[in-house]
Amino acid sequence: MTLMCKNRFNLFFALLVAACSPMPTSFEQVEEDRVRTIDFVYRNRADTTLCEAAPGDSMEVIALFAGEKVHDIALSASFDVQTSMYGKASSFNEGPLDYTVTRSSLQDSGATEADTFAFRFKIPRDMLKTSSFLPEHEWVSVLPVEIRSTIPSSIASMSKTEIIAMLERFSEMEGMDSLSSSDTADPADDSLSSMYRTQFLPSAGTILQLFSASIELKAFVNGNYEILSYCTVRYHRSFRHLDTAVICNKNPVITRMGIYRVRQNNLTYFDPTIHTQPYEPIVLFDAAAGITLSDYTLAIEKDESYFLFAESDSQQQALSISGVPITETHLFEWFFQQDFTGVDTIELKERLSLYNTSDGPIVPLIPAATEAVDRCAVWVQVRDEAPGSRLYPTGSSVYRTRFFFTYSQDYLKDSGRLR
Amino acid sequence: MKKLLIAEYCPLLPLLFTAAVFSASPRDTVSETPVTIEIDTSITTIGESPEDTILRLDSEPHLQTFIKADYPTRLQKSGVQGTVLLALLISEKGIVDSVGIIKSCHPLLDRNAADAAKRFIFTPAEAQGEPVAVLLEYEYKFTLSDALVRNDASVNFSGRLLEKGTRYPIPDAVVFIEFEDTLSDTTLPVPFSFYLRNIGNYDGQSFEEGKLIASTDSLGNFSFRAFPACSILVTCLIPGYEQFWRREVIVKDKRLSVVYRPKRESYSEYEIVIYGKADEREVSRRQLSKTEVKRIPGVGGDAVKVVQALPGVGRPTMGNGDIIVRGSRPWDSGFFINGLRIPLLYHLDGIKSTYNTEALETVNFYPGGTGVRHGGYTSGIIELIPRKAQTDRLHGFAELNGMDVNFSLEGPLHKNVSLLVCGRRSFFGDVMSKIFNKLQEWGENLPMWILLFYWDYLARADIRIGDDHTFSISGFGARDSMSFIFNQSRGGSKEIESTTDRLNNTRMFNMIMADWKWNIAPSAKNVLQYGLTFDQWNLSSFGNLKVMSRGATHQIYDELAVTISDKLTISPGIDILLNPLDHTMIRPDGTGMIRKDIVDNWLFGVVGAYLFAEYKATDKLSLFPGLRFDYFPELSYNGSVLPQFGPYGEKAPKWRGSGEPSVRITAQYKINNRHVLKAALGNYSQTPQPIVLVIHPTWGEPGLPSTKASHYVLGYLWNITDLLSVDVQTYTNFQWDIPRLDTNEAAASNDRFWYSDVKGRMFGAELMVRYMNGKHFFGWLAYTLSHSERKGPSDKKWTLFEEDIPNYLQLVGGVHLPFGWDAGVRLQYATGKPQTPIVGRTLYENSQVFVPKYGEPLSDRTDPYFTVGLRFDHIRVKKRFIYSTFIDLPDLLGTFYGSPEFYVYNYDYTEREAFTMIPMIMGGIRLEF
Repeated sequence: MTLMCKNRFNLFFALLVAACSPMPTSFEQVEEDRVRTIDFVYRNRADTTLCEAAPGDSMEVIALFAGEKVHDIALSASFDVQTSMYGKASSFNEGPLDYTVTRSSLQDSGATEADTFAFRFKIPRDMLKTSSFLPEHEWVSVLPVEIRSTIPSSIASMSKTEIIAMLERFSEMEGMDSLSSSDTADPADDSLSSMYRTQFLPSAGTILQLFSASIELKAFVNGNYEILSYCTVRYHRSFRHLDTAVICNKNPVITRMGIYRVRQNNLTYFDPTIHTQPYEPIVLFDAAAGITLSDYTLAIEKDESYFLFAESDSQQQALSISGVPITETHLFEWFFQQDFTGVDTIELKERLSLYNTSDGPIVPLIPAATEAVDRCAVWVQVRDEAPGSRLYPTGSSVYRTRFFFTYSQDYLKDSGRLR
Repeated sequence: MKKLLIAEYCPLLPLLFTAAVFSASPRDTVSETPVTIEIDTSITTIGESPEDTILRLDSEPHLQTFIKADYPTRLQKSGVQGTVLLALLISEKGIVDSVGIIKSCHPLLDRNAADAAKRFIFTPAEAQGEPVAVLLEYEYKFTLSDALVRNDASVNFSGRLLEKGTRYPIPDAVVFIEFEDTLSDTTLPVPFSFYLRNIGNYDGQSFEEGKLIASTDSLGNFSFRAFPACSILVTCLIPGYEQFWRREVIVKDKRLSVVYRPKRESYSEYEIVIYGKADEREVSRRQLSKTEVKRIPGVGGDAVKVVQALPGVGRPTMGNGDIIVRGSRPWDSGFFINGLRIPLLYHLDGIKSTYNTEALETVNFYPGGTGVRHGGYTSGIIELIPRKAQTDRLHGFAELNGMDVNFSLEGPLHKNVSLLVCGRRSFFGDVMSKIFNKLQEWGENLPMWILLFYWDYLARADIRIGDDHTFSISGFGARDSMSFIFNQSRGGSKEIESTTDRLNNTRMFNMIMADWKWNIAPSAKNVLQYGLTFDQWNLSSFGNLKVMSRGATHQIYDELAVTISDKLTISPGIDILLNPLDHTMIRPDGTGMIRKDIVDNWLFGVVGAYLFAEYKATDKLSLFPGLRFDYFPELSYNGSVLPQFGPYGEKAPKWRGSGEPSVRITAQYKINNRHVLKAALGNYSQTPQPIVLVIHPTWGEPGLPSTKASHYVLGYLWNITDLLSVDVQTYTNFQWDIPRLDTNEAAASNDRFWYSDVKGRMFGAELMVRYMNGKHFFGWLAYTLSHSERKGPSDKKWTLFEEDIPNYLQLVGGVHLPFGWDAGVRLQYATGKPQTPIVGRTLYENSQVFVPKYGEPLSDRTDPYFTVGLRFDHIRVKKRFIYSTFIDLPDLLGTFYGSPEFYVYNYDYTEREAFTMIPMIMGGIRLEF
């Protein structure tokens, strides 16, 4: 989160904040002279709605960039990542990633500002065995104290390698239902089945979450920009039928996107569910209604405020490590790139701007004070999180659009004051 | 020539005899001088020829009947007085046959005296057994004092002097009376000047140089007697007060009573706040009066915060309340009320101290080299000494300033009991809340709310039980509350906190303190203090962190001072703090799992015992050695048996307990009354900081040892004059076993993050040139030259520490201006704070956060800090109260040169701006009586 000066709309808050000059750059603004990473979208090739992988799965990472053209990406990975309690991730055995890269696309309106690359690679089948994400023994100690006792002692006494072998055995056995039956073809499976039902199932959610590890992808773009991205590998996909205890994470999706035109100026915050100012929603994209407006022209008027809004699909239910249901949270990142005609440069105070201080779905759009700024591209990324769930795979997606501006004369006359 | 005794009456015959004056007892004489007649008994011959023998008298004539001569009033008023010398011919029958004027005084007086004398009746003189006629001389005196009536000496003009504003009686003041109108009282029987000289002899008043003078008694009362009716000019001359005068009119037969209220030249001298012990046991010695405290810009009149204006204290970031002593961290210093630890020193991280300055008598600031009376800290000590309630009458004040309202009431409940109550409450949070509500009414959709709130209270009762016991009990408490509400906030976990759109931080404590001072014997005194504190802290941050902490802390402090001889005093003491803490922390760990760590009855504390001595080795040399041992119940390592002056802990013998011994000694050598040399050395220890987190069972390392330090101090004090002094100190401090957080150790078992393997060293020099609070001006120059550095286990060399400020200069001054104005100025210059440059960045794509890559640690600095502050106070002294206003401008230069506090960066750390504070203006009004 960047520190920013408060804008013209709320002088009161400016008085509360120590003096600092506005920076020429902002997080939300995409500059054409620097690479901006909009998103890394993970898709499991076996189920492209999922953003997580199981050992042995093939993954596709769609890297979306904007701004400076990407002409070079070097990708490396580590399949051995330790994450400390304080959040520091340490990667070991980092090496070049064996991948294929293609151009890809995301939901968009046809604009060509984005550089989109898709990387496909395979998760080593023995990744969880070789990773040091848990100690070989006493792995139960990683759990919070109050839930350690939920792990049956017979399982808790097993080593990490033994647990992984057990999980793989469970996932490999044909017809998972056979594990639910006490009558199996192979007597050896009987004990396994018994263990599955009596020992594993009651604490499946906790064990499967605990036995999650991260892959660290490191991308080096244009020889200058370093990006770290993490993907979670776990056995959830193999146990999806245990849907009360095991929930695989899907990528959230932008379902709707547009602009609120609010009939009151100088607003910095607007939510139609709680505020009463009259407004007009301009829908640029609606997946359910089949609406996609490309190259919309937004007429900027005096005495109005403008907000970009986005909606995502329903938030999934997740589970905490202790099995408590959690509704995941959708967070929104907004990016924009303005363009202008007829001039080489625009003063900072005249530029189009957008402030996202809350990771929320509605953000104020501050129109430019000059009609030279006649268009912009906007990206909205939605990603999910579920605090309480261990190494919750980050799902995300992006919607990109573009629209144009016209300005009323009244607005242009007043815009010097407004700024 | 033949002398004859004239026997026949001859009124016209002047006779020259040797005359005797005989004592007479007139019936009503106003003369205080007796009139006597001498009779020359050698004259014995009467009516005989010169050849006859002179007869000797057998008995002299005695005045039987005295007739008072008329003394005309107009002559009295004209000041005419004198003596008429008469010759009286007294017949054989004792009547005055004739009167002659030998020496004239005034024709009218002569005649009146003669007329009166003619009616005198004497017992006849006798010679040879027969009455005889005689001639004698008689002095008749007319004196003005006889005209004055004694019973006019009653008091007819009285008054009382009470200090304006405070109503304190003014004793021993001199009251002068000048009489401007000498003619208005026509009833005076004597001239005015004579009258005044005469009444100048009355009790309680005197006459000098044309003025009558009296003094006030201990209650400020004065009185004058027998004033004539006239106009007078009353002048009061009192040292330390502005000249006072009034014109009054004295009316005949009426008594005039007045109350005068002279105004002091300065009104803030009632308490002296001492920084650094006034005694010799500590190296530091700095005194500041409350007037000086209140005039310094930027400290809000806070006696604790003003410590930041002294040498040896670093400049805190953003003007907060951090006390950075000699390059150490704020948590390395200790804060006490008497000998008891304060749970919370400042409101809201530095706005004001929680203990009301108005209730303080002394603030002791020890930057280092302190004695054994305090333990559990490795750097400086701030000790607040509360004052007793005033016992003369009811006092109070009320103040409204930009932050809070503040009030106090104190006074005697009984001759041996006095009570002080004060309280303070912020109001800007209420104002902000109203503003927010109003903005919402106006249609502003507010994305953020900020609510800041604090209050504190103090109630103290002082009880005196005889001459040997003094007892006090106090209740002291405070509450801070800070809320930042972001309406649009997302994220966080409801498992941690139900409201995830806000940050709430609330801290509250209530403390009971009891203090008993007992003069056991002339050579033994004991001080016992007990404190019970109920403390709670609640923090929740946007559903990402929650901390709840509650404790009931018991503190006992006792010191017995025994004077063995005039050279040696021994003081054993105990200093115990026990704080069983219930601590809960809920937060997600690095993998997202929410950890709820509850530790109940987690015992923290310091259990200390010490032995301290004051030894006067010679007339000039005094030594103050001490031994101390501190046990830390929250730690679980094996402590050293030997005092550690260096990191030789591994080699030192251990005992199976988490405690450390200390040896500390101070020496003072008085070269003469003006030059003093001091030195101190000692070792210190404290529980590793930040407390709780470092030794937390889950997030910390319980087995860490205490952090230790050693101090070496040299000081020189030169009292150039009574008001001008120079104080120089040099110091070298070492620290070791400083905790370090290492998150790179991402072991899968997460078994260790904290290590105690960092060393520190700080050295420097401090200069204070001071002009003490004189009549019109006070000021000082404080300069600190210092260096602070650290060395970690993998560091090849010492590196700068973030609190290193090599140069810090402050010029502070205050001046008393006419018309009740006071002005204060403070200039600050400090080297910029160390910063670590950012040489790159990495985007953590999952959270869209850029994480900086750092260059060489602390190899950069911000630009220097430079500012000037001004403060103006205006005092209006009314009859019964004092009304004052102030305006404080702590950063005048902020508009022109924004002193950087630190750097802020843009989102990807490719650009930076200096973060500066907005120049603030504070003001307030105050009423006190």
